[in-house]
Amino acid sequence: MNEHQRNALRAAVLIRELLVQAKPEGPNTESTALAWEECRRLARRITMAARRGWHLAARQLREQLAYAVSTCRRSLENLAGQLDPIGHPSTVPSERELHEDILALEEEFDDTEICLKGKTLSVTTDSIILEGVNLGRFEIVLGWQSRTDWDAYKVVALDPNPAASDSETTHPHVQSDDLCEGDGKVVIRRALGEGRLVDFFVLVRQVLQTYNPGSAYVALDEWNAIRCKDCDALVSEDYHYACDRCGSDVCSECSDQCAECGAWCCSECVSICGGCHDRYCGECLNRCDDCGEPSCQHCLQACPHCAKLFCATCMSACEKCHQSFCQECLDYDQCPKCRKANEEEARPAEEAAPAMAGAARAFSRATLQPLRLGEAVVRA
Amino acid sequence: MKILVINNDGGGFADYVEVTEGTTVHELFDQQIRSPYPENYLIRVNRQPVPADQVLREGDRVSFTPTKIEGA
Repeated sequence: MNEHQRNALRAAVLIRELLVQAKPEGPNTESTALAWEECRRLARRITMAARRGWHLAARQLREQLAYAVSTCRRSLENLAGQLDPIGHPSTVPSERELHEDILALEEEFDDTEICLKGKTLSVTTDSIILEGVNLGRFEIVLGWQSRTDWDAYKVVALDPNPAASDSETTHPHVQSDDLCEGDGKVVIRRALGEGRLVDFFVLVRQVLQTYNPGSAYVALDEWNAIRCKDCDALVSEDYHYACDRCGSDVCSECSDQCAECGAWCCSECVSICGGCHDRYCGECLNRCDDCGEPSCQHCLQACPHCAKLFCATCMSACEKCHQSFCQECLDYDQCPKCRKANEEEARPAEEAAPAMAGAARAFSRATLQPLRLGEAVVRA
Repeated sequence: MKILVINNDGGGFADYVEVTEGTTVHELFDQQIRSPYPENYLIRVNRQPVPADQVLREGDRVSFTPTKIEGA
């Protein structure tokens, strides 16, 4: 016996201990109830199909009902057998049966791993390819640390190719390593409960290999679709853009092109110029130094005095030179240069005014009362 | 003779059934599954794939598992 066979035997012993502890005391009616419910569901559908005149569908449903009834009958017989254990298979397999099951996994799967320390038994599937989408290999991990672990097996993507819109969805029917068993729920649970390991792993594999488009976490035709950051719609690969500024994914409807540099941007990275109302990206848009309004370079003017940039609304013309300046640089509607010029013009008149006053006074004195006969004030 | 049949279709069950000597795997499939499409099932005898005309023996463990099981 090689190491793998010895590990398989040890695992079989431990798993049987778990199953024996978890064996229900009373008869299990769950599968019978589910089988009966299936019969009722089909019967309702037959009634509906017949009422609508869908005779072909009704005939097919009757065939399904016939099969469901036979399954239900067997389930009832099995239930009866639980009351009489003689002549019916035990719900707890022997160590030999478990050992044979574990060894048989190697025939069904490429890779089988027994971890005695971690108390897990796992198998690896081939790459799962559904409708042309390669989802990679999956590892089905069954733990036997507790009954809770036993029931909560995991399906782990080994070569993840998750849905573009949800990284936790690695398969249309697997999310966060949990398989949504759908039609396989009853039969998988039954295989687990009865310790039929090969059946359990094969059943899970068959669910992974089957695509149910009507009930997938993410449909395969939207597998590579992404959500537009702005409108939240799902967009296929061919019709989405990455914002040239922030890298976010947006659809063609929500992306705008910068009127200056031509970059394609999402709604957060593009703004409207307050002057010309065209759309610009953040790199091509500035703000008025006064009011803060976003404006393109064409709509902003530099104040000739302070050299800051202002929108047209925040600039006014000097009443003298008629050039446009910002409000701060204008003083009484005059630019600094014109104001200074004005001041200089006014200064000689002010300086001349006292001399003139003195001269005027002197002239007055002279005319009224000359200093001496023949003397007069001589101006310098 | 008595063999163990594991039917993993629908609700699934495992039970002993009496079959006549010389019954083949294909004949058992027709009796138990009643589907015209055996290719839609994985058929194993004693956990091994076998040809359809294999004759069953006393104590054989036969399983029928659908290849297509829809998840949700």
